[in-house]
Amino acid sequence: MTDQGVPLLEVKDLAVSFEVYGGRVNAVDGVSLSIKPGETLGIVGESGSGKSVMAYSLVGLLAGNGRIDRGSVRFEGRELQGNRRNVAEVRGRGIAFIFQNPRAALNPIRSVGDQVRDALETAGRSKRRDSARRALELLEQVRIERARERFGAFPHELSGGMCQRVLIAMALAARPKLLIADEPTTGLDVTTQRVIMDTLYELSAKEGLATLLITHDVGLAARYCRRIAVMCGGKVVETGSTRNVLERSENAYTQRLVAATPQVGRALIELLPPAERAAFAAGTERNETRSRSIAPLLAVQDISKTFESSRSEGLFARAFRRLGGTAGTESAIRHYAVRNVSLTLARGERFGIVGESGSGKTTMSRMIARLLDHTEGRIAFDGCDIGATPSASFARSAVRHRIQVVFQDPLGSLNPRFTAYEAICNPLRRSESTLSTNDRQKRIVTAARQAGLDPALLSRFPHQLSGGQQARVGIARALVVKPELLILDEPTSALDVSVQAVVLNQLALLQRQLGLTYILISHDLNVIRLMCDRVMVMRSGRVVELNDVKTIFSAPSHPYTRELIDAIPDLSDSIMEKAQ
Amino acid sequence: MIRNSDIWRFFLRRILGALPLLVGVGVFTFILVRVLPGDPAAYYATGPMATQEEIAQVRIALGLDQRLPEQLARYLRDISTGDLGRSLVTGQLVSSDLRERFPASFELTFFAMLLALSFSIPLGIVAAIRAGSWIDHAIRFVGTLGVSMPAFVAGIVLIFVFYFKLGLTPEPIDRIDPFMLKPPVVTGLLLIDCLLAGNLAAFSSALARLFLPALTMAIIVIAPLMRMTRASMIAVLSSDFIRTARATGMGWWKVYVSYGLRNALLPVLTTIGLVVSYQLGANVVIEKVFAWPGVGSYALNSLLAADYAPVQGYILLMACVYVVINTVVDIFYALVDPRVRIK
Amino acid sequence: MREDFAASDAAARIGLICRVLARNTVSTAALLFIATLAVFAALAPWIAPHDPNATDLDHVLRGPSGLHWFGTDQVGRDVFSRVLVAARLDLAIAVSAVLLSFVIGIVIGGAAALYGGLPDRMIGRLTDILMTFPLFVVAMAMVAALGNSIQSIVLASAVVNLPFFVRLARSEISVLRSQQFVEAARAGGNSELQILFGFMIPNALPMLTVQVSTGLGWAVLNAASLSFIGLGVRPPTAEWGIMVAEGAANILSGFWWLAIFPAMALTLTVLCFNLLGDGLRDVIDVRTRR
Repeated sequence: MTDQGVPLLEVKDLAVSFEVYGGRVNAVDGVSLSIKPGETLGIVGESGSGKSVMAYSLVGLLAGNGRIDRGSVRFEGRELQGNRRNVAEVRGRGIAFIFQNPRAALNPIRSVGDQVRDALETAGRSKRRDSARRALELLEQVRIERARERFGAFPHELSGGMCQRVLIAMALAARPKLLIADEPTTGLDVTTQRVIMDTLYELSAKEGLATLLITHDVGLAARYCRRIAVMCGGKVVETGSTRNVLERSENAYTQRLVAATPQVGRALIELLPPAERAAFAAGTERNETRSRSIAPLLAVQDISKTFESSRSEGLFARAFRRLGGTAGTESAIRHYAVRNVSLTLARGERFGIVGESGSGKTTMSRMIARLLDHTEGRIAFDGCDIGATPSASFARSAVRHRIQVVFQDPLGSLNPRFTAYEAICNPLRRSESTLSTNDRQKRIVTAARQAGLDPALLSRFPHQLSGGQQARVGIARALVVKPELLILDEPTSALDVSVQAVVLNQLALLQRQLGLTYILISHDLNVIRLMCDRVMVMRSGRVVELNDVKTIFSAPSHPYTRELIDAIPDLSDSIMEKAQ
Repeated sequence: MIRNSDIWRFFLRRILGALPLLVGVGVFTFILVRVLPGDPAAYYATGPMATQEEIAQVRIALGLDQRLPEQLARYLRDISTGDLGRSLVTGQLVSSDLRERFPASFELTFFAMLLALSFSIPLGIVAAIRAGSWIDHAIRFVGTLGVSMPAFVAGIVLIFVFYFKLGLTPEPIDRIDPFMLKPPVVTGLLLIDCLLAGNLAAFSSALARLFLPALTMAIIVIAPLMRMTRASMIAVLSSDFIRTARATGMGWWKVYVSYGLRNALLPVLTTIGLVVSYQLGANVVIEKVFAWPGVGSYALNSLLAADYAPVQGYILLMACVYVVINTVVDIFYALVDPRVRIK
Repeated sequence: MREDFAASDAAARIGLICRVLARNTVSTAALLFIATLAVFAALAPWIAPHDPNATDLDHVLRGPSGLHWFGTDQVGRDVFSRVLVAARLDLAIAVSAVLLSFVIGIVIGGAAALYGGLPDRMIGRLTDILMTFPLFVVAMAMVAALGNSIQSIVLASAVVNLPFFVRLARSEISVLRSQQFVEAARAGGNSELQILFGFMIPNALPMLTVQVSTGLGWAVLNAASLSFIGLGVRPPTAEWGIMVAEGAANILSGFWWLAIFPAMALTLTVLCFNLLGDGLRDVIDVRTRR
């Protein structure tokens, strides 16, 4: 191991700007940091903080219109800034990368085995003859099961987690000294995230790699990094040991960021910095004795959804099959998205559905919202069987406005050609067509205020609004028709953590003030804990567990639930500290 | 992960998928020809001197007195066995006329496509690398200019410039100097036949005459090919996997050619299939302008002479050529891109 | 107190259009050319300097001069006037053809994508079959079948443009169908028809506009090519394709003005339609607004 005192990577006053229509934008504005050999440094920041841009600029991977304005980058003492030869030598061999969206980061028309071989050969670590064998070894090292079989597979045939392992294998091929991981687990399931990060951690410990972990997830950084640098607006606002930054920071932004990260044991209001809590504090005394009407608002009985996806066969192929030929045909594929799920909701209840991708939670939400027809079972809302009306004609039913949805993609769920005002106005127009323009306007402004949206923003188009503002338009749109049941489909998963804190508190306040009943769907059990009274855990279309939130957290009865709970980051639980 | 069976399955499925298309083509042509004015029986008559009796006999023999669906069935059977009727103008079977003249058109179209690709792909790559610069704009403008010219305008302008003003090319009549000794017909493709016979003088004469019409046909399709290359290249250059390749330290050739170009050329392949259709259509006009003895001029002359059997045969032939080319393109595409095989 | 929540008022909107036009200088130039041409073409019968059909056997095959800006042809007709009148004819044919194919294409393609299933696949198949034929040849055959007239050219050009509109409408609508804001529209109580007209078509407009523009170019090309080979419009009607055909023979004798001027007019018009497409899309797509 080299002299611990000399930094492996030293960045001084780095500035990067991009050319956009109308001038230049400073993405990175005077960043300085250093990493010692074998050390893990986490760079934490929200979207737009410049953390990824900074990392890419270190080895000249910026997109076309980016430019390094000033600063020095020294790796092992050699200056990389402005020196193409040094950069070329360092890429792969000194500094290696792994990226977000692993499947997109691999060449789609080349097998994963061949790509690892390419990485090996580039590093000069083997010739064409050996590289296959060594590539296989690498794939096994990153824990890809049945590596020999998977060697010739293509990226689209592998899961996201496996693609990420392949990328790790490629990164390690050249035995680099520094590994830069840019949001390596974003988009992967919570359980997969854990496993990938553990693998990464083990491998880098074994090889003595230094790691630069770039993430928006404070919990992830807390768990795997010994030091943390917090970035905001292109600058580093604070650097220090993990413990100091997370618990004893004096910087306002860091405090806000840490507070907003949902953790076990914290209350919803604590996600916000103390100065901002007053606005959302109304009605926090939970009124346990509030009378609930005896009849449930929503009763779902044994609901199932089966998708039949037959390959689009031509007439000819179908005829061929009937004649007895079997070449090139397969029977229709059945996908059981949801199987025999039942639940009842009382008025005023806050219900959560949690599950990973493929669990069927989204399908459930669409069926309850009557946007999708169920294959079996009954759905009753306020006593009447709403399942009887097919989803295609439900839009015109009188019940439509009583069940509303807030969708996951804040931008995608808004019509690009409607202003915020028009977007909110549309459902109101459909459900109460006799309102005068003035009355309508009043309702829209009220809904906007309830959702926390400044009415001045109502004349803007979606692309002119920030992510949080877009989410609020979606909420206002759902609220304007005065629904009784609100279905929130991952309402904050696309938002920054500090924005999420505000939006969640807003939703909680609304629920108390308006007496809403809602179903919150999320992959994040922690968000559910903060926002719901009861939760249903789903996996592969079935209900794994259904209970109060308190019971689920204190005494989960199913191992899968336990897995999900364990995956929640605990900022005080750092793998780095355990290692010491 | 066993890939070979995937490829064969795709191959088979693709070919099977093309068959209904061909049937549809036949039906459509049938309808089209029935709409054309003129007596169908006359198409199949033994010659231009057929008497009323003979025509009536032929009519019965051909089943033209039967109902439409039966006529259709008979028609489909005829064309699938290659019986396309007889031309009134030449007096020969349409199928043999087409067979005689097809190589000329094929040679022209093939050479034109080659020319088009050799211009559009490099230009597209340059435009992509220098996207937004004046070079990019200039290249795109020139391409658009080419596609805005009707085929006959392009042809006439080229003849005017190269033959009339500059005298660089021979007169635009026929495929080869009429006074030169032609090589024996082996493939029908003049250039190849000349090479096979070792007759270099004839080869250069044929090449000189092939050049202008091929260039004309190339100019009018450079734009779509070049645009697709450019767009595809731009998308690939900014893609995540190129970034990975660069981050891994791979060399210039590996990143931009092996990883980049191979991916970028895939959509271009599909575009070729589409562009061929336009070229085949323009064929008719080009062959008229350059007096090229191919199937296009054959069809046009027949149409103007109200001789419809050759027109029908020509339409069928062109549609089949298109289907074949697209099937080949699709199969080739599947060989390169594994994502397509599992649809 | 009533506030106006409109996205922008009239002044701001005009300002926006001016900014977009300024950014796309080429498209703007193309637009100006087309607009000017359209105006002149519409007024052609009244503003042409000479009668396009008036022969003058004393002034045959004269080159461009002060009196005859584009020269005279082999029977002494003024080429400039003929080019102008031909513009009127060709533009009229193009606009009618594209209008026809646009409306029919959108309806068929949109309906197919919306209802999906078998009708969608059938329409897709039919479009595929139509596109296996070199479309120009189809146009040729149609004109031959329907007789040599302007109507048949319009119809043939419409048929030739149709598959492109159907295909485009199908693909745009099927993409839009699965967008989250369409789902949200359903949750908001919009019927399928309201979604089609209020949400999907407005969002498909940018792409459709480009296709209209390119389609106009194709239609002009088509009409001219058909006349060139002797189908459709017949002499002595002034039409660009016919003029080039008649002039082609004379080009090798040195009388270039007979063919070159109409050829240039043709090329320039089609070029401008093609260049116009991108600029139009920017104006219509709200996302380019800042």
